[in-house]
Amino acid sequence: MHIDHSKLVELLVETSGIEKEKIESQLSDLLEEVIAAIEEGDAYEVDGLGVFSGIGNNVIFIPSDELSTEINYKYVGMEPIEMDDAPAQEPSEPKKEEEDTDVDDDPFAGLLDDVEDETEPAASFELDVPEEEETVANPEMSSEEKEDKGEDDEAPFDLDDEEAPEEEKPGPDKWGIDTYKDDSAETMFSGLLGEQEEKETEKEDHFDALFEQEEESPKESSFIDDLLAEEEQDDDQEEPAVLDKIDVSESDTEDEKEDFDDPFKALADEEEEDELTDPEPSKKKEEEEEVIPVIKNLSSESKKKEKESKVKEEEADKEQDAKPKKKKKATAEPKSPPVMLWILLIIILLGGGTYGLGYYGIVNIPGITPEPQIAATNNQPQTTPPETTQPETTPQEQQQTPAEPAEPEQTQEAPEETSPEPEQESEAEVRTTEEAPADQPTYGMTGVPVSAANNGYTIVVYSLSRESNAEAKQRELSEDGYRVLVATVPSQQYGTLWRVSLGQFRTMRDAALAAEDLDQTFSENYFITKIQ
Amino acid sequence: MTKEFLETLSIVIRDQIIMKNSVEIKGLGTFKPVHHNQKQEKRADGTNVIVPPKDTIEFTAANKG
Repeated sequence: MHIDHSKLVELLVETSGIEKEKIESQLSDLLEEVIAAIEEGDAYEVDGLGVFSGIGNNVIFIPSDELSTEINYKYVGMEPIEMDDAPAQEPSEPKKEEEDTDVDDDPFAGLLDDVEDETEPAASFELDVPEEEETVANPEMSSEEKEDKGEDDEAPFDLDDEEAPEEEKPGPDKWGIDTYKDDSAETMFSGLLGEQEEKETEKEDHFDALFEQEEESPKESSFIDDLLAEEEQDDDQEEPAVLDKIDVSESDTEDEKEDFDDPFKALADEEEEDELTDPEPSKKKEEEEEVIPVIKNLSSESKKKEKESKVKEEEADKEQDAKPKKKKKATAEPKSPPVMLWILLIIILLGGGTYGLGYYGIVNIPGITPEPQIAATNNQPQTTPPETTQPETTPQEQQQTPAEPAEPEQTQEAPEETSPEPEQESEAEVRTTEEAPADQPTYGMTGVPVSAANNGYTIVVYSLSRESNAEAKQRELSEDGYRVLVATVPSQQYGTLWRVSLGQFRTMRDAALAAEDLDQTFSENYFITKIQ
Repeated sequence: MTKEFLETLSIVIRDQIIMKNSVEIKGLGTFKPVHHNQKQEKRADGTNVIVPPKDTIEFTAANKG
């Protein structure tokens, strides 16, 4: 429809209430000023409308941002949709569902096969198979194989095998090892067995004396035997196991003594000489010698006992000293980490709390608090596709126009006047109230909206600023058999818009093909958008 | 030429453009709404996008030449 000069004047008169003559005079004044400005090479700006400027003989008009935005209010909130992601996914996702039923999860099976071939499962199977083979084959395996495997693979068994025969076979060949072990044992208990070594040397002396004196002095030998028996009893009481080993060492040492000239032999010879000359002093000496080791032993034992007791006391004291320290450490250590944890927890809780307060609008934090939505103004023109709705809407528009002039500025100047509804409807919502019949396909142009098809696309044919008008259009189109969706779109500038759309389509292409079949009333002005 | 007149003129032209009507100002030119359907475009980075629809105003000056 074309609004010529006369109709424009009528509209201006109706909208502003100014007399027609004044309107015409002011309009002519505006025309002269614009032409004059353009002739002078300047641009002429009309607030809220745009800028007139001249390039050569041509006059161009650049609409203001407000006007450009306002005439596109129907498409508010629409952003470019990436075709590579969205359409590529949309056809593929449902197809996958269909293919899954037919072809036993081919994509996933392929993925899994690849993974199995490449990495873990093969390795795990490789590891599993030998174990199974071993467990299964072990009963059938020969002892040699077992030994081989045991020798090759399991070192602990080797050690056991080596150690076991040594312990179980105390043959003469192994005695060297046993003696070595005994020496080590002695070295381990050298502190405790130090006295016994001394006794052993003494015993050796006595043995030497015995070998030489047996023929000459049977009394002495019997006395020495008594002494040895006493000492052996003492030793047996103390450590009988050690004595057996010491006997073996003694047998070795006796052989060695035959090779080497011991100083004790000389002493023994002297003693023999003394015995030959004076048997009584020799007895005294022997008594002294008998007593001395006992005294030594007693003294050394007492000293050692004292030392041991002292050592034990010291150890006990150390343990006592160490225990409280450990306790202190144990008590002191756990204190430090919890403090840091508590500090971190407090910081996290404070941050989360402030974020939550800001997010829910209790505290106004810029960047976190959602922007308040401006209330939907009733004065916004109800726009519908012009051809069909013009007879219905134009009278309303004409009735509303007198109140309109200051409204866009009001909405921009006072954005704090918010209504609760837009805040609740922070995102577009699609209302699908009715339940679809069972035989209805999920996607399509006709029928009843299905909530399962809300992941698709729809054809928007109306963007209305009043809910009542949207519901009326919904009823009207539903009666015609269309699958009608009504979605609310919040806009900070225009308030809430009610978008009436037709059909639910799996892909944008399906929607575009369906839109070509729409009536002329819709085919000239529609757009396809994703159902939100 | 009052401010009220200019505001009223802007609102009337806006509403008529929204209603897909062309508005003529005698001696100056004609404002005509132009609807651009949503279309597919290829961006510089190679991605294909569906550009949303858009309405614009086309101004035709009265004295051509």
